[in-house]
Order: sequence, then C-alpha cells, then structure tokens
Amino acid sequence: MSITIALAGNPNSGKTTLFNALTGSNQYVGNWPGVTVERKEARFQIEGEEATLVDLPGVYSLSPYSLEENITRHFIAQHAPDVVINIVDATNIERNLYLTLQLMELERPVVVALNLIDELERQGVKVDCRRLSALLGVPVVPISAKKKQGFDGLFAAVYQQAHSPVVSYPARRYDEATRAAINEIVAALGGLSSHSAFDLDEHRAHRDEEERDDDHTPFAEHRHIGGYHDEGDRDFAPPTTWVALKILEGDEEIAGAAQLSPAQKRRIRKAIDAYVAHGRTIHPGIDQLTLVVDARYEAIERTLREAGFPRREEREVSLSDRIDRVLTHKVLAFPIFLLLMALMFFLTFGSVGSTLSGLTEEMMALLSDGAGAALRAVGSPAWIRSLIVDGVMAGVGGVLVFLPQILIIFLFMSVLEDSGYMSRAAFITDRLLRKLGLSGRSFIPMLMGFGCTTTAVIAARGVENERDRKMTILLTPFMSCGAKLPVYALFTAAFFPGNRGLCVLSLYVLGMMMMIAVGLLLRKTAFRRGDTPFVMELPNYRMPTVKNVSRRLWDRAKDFLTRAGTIIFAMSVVVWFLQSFSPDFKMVADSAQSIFGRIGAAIAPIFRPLGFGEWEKSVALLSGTIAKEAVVSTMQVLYSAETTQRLGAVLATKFTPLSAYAFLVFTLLYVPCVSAIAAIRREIGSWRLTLLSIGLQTGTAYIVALIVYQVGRLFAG
Amino acid sequence: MTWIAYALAGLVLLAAAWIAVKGVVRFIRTKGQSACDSCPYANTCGKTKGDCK
Repeated sequence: MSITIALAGNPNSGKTTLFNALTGSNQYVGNWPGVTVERKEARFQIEGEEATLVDLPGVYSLSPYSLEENITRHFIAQHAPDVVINIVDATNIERNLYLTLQLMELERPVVVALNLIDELERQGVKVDCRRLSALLGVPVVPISAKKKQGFDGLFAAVYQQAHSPVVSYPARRYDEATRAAINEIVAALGGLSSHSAFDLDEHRAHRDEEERDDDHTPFAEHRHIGGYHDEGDRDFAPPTTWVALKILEGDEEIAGAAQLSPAQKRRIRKAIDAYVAHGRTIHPGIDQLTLVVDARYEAIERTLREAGFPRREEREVSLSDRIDRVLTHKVLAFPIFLLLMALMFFLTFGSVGSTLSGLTEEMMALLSDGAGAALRAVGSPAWIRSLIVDGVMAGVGGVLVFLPQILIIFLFMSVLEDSGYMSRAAFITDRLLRKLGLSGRSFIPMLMGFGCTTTAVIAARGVENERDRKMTILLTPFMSCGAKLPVYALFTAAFFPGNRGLCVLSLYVLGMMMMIAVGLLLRKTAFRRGDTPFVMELPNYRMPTVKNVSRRLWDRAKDFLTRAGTIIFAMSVVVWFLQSFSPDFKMVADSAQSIFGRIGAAIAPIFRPLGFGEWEKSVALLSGTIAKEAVVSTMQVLYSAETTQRLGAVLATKFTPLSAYAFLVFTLLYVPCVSAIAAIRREIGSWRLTLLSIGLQTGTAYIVALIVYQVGRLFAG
Repeated sequence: MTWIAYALAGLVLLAAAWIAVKGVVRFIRTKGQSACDSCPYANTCGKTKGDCK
C-alpha cells in the first residue's frame, strides 16, 4: 500500500525546498484539474514503504478566497491524504500556525515540520517542540529543509501518523463563545457522527445517474469541496465540527452544499446571531468571520505562551527587520528602489554592458564578413549573399549582440529576487498604488511584467476579485517587458551614448506612470469599486546562492539563443523576403517597391506626426508585434546593416534624438506581442476587452509619443 | 562551387519556412501558450515555466 502525503504550508515557508530535499529530482509536474496551477508529485520511500508526496500550493489559510486556497482545501478534504505534512516557518510561527489549526480542523493526521528553527534560535528563542506538540495534539518535528536536517525524525513521525493516525480537535482550544456556537451548529446538523450535512448516499446516487446519462452537469461535483472532482477523490464526508465552523464563518459554499432544512437554518441563524451579538459587546461592529479568525489567533497565542515562546516584540530584532527599517522606510523606500533600478540600468547599458556587447558585436561582424567573403568565393549570386548576410546574419546577429546586456539585467534581477528584495519592491510600490486607489494585490503580476507580459497576464489568476483581475490584465502590458531591451539598447547607444542608463530608466518610469494614469481612468469609469484588503508576507533576507543565480542565468541564455535561432531567424528570413520581392514576386532593386515597402508606405503617414513616418520604421514596428526584438532585426535587414554599430550609424541619419525618443516611447507603450494578446484573450475571456486592451495600449502609445515629439519640437525650436 | 551557395540558401529557406509554419500551427493549437516554451523573460519574480502553461 502506498502512503499519500500532502505537503501544505504558507508561501515562502520552505515547502518547495523540503519537497525537493525529500524527493530529489524524481518529480512529476502536472496541473490541477480544471485549473492551471502547477501540481508537483513525487514518489519516494519512507521507512521502506512506497509514498507519494503531493506539493500543494502555498496558502495562508483554507478559506476559499483564492484558487490556491480552494485547491489545497479540496485536496485535503476530498482526497483525504493519509498524512498532511504542514511546514511551518518558525521565524513567523504565529501566522503559520493559523494554517496549521485549519488543517487540524479538517481532522486529518497532521505532522508539523518546524522549519528554520536555527534562524529562530539565532534570535535567542529556545523551542520546546515536545511541549508544543503536546499542546497542539499533533507531532511537531524540528527540521532545516535547506540543510536537510531533522528528516529522520520527520519520516518517523509521518510513518507513525500514517499507520496509527492521531487527529487533533483544535476547536476545543477556542474561546468559550466560539465553542458554544460550534456545539449549537453541530447539534443543528444532527450531532457529531451524523455527517448529515453531506448526504453521501444521495450524492453517489446522483453521480451514478449522471454517469449513466453521460450528462456532465456539475451536480454531483458541487458536493465536493471546491466544486470540482479530481481523480483520486474519495467520497469523504467532511467532519461535522469543521462544517459547523465553516457555517459559523459564513462560508457560503459549505452552507450551500450542506443542504440545510428551513428548521436547521433557523436554529443555526439564531446561534450565529447570538455569537455575533456577544462578540460585539467586546468589539463593536465585528463580523462573524473576524470573530472566528480572532478565536484562532487567540488560541495560537495562548498555545505559544504555554509552550514558552516569547512574543514577537520580545524577541531580538532580526537582521532582516533591521534592513527593512531602511529599505521599507516610509520616506527612503521609494528613492532606494529607484536608485537600485538606476544602478541596474547603468550597469546594463553603461560601460560594463556596452563593452561586453561591443565584443560580441565584433565577433558577429567577423562572422558576417567571413560569410560574405566565402559566398563570393564560391561564386554565389547576389540574392543568396543578401539572404545570408543581410537577412539571416544581420537579423539574428543584431539581436544576439544584446545577450550580454540581457544577462546583466537578469543577473541583477535574480540577485534582487533571491535576496528577498523583490517582495519589498512589490510592498513599496503597493503602498504607492493603494494611495492612488488601485488594488495592491495586482502589483505582483504587474512586477512580473518587467520580465514577460504573457507570464504576467497569466499570473493575474492570483488576483481573486474578477474586476481587479481584469484590470490587472489590462494594465500589465504597460510595464516594459524584457524583449524591448534590445530596442532600447540599440537606440540609446546611437542617440544618447552619455545617458543610456538614465534614458532606459525614464522609459521604465514612464511605463509605470502610464499604468497608474490608465488605472485611475479605468477605476473612475469601467472598473469602479472600493479597495480590497491585501496581505503580503515579507520573507527574511537571504544571501543569494551562486548555484541558483548561475543556473537561472544559464537557463535564460539558452532560451535567448533558442529564441534567436528560431523565431528571430524565421522573422529575419520573412522580412528579407518581403523587402526583396515585389507583390508579383519579382526581385526588386529598390526595397521601397517591395511588398514590405508597399505595406509600410500605406501605414507610414499615421506615424508622421510622431516623427517617424518612413515606411521602414513603420514595418519595423509592425514586425515587433510578433516579437519585440524583431523591431531591431527588421531594421537591421531593411537598412542592410550587417552589424549593430553600422545600424546605429544609419539610424543617426534617419532619426533625430527627439524622434528616436518618441519611437522608444511608442515601442514601450504600443500593443504587446501576439503571444501576450493571445494570453489576454484567454485569461480575460472576451474579445471586446481584448480589443479594448489593444486599443488602450496603441492609443496611449500614439498620444504619449505625439506629445513627446510635438512638445519636444517646441523646445528644440 | 556555386551549388554550395544554392544548397545553403535552400536550407535556410526551408528551415525558416518549417519554423514559421510549425510555430504558427503550435501557436494556434495552444492558443498562444507555445510562445512560452523558450521565453528567456518569463522567469522573473520566482515564477517557473509551469506558470506559463
């Protein structure tokens, strides 16, 4: 028999580290059914017995407010794993035990793996795990997931719980009023052993009927916690005390699934009203959910005091807290954030990045010259030389030369991310956004937009409120994605050599400002609503590891080379073809007569008021909708510049610094690439809103670039 | 020796056509998710490739 073990814990509690440490690389990655959150499973041996470890999404509670919480709750309630390992971050034990209590409320055998205990001990706290275990009623095992310590004890406790399960009833430790309300609701449901709340016989009968009729209405599934059925689910009636607690919290899903009679509803309503009335004698205006939350936190605090834990404020101030006093300081936080971004751009586009790119460029130039000479030596016709040298080598090489700069920016971001600063960046900017009336929850996917718009749009799934989620999706493309970096690098080197970092920083800041402005506009028009609460945990600062950072850089370099060798290569050949042949497929000497020339000439007048009304620039922007780097490779092919340096020189004759900056502004803000558009359509589920997004982006880009160019002309004379 | 140039050109054009057609077909089939297969930009903020799919 195989043991099924669920791994649950708060985000950043070390869950993935423990999962990897326990299972090595022997893992299976899939998706949760009906949803698209990653599901990791792995098999391993525990005390000689086969076990399956399921890594559940990181959650703070089991309330069904987010997709992750719903999945975790469904798995534990419906899949009924043999054991739940609850990884608890010892340095943030109060918050983490909130989930522990909720896991125990589901009456599954739980083992608490107390992680980062060494860090807590460095803060001068001695932990008596035996006492804590006795108070909680479940095994508590100290571990260090990172150092792979304490695993023997963890395995022994898990094995013990799998074979001689001990469940705990945390509600017994809640305050008297909460206990009384729970007991009354349990009685209304028919008593502890009745399980009448979830009539499984009826449930099975309906399901069998559905299977016979091959009717996929979700009737039977609505009785499954979370509203969906997963392979491996058991017809498991949730504990009545848990059902009572959920009804007391005001959980509509559970109350609905319980199918209460009018008499039961009346009795339960009376119990809840009495509970709330009692609560309001102490805290006026409090609601039923907050009362239950308070009851849990009060039980946690009492348990920890009895186990000898000092209060958080009594502990030594940790290094992370000391660093945070500066980095998240009310006044200093934002300037420090901007300073770090400026440093990143200075290193990327300043002397370090441009020297490395220059070296790559020289290599590419040598290759290109060599290829041209070799083709001439074998008597190649001019069109083949043009295809290989001006098409493929110029197009692909034009993007490849920016690899060092892209790696520098990713190195910087990896270090910031691994150190824990990225969470602070989200926190700092969240404060600013909330002042402007935007939801703080939306900022994390927006921050991801600095990497890739497509991923960021998908990550907006984490925003549970539908209106906020749609608004996040509409605003995310304003953040400057990584694929635009080659365009910035090319233009800043050609037009603003002394202020490259500053120029790129200004574009990033402009993107954020436009996002805020459009966000405010949407809030006041299509997406009018109040603020939603946002809880965010700031993980402790940690030293980034060389292994982690270098692995990530290597992955990105590989992906960048793959992208250059596939999509950019194919695009370069297509661009070469379209600019070399006329609409009747005859090779042309003047590319203005080519297919691309004709298309470009038709759309170019639109861009004339922005300062870049020539057909080459227009079609470069057009090809940028396939992939943003294609703006560079297209220009490289169209201007027949074998190297980026030569292209820079050509551009200097085609743009003024002002029109170049307007071009960069347009590139920053205009419609995202096709994969991002597809993601927007998929995630937002409406063509109308997808078209609104495209219109919003392109309209904003046009207006802002127009203002930049026309106002700039006034100053430039 | 001119045949080398023609062979190279043929290879380049065939490869580009194959990549483009395969890319478009996969893009349509996966409703755009195939773009994430080798995206160097998709890993920021601790997210994995899995988040893309």
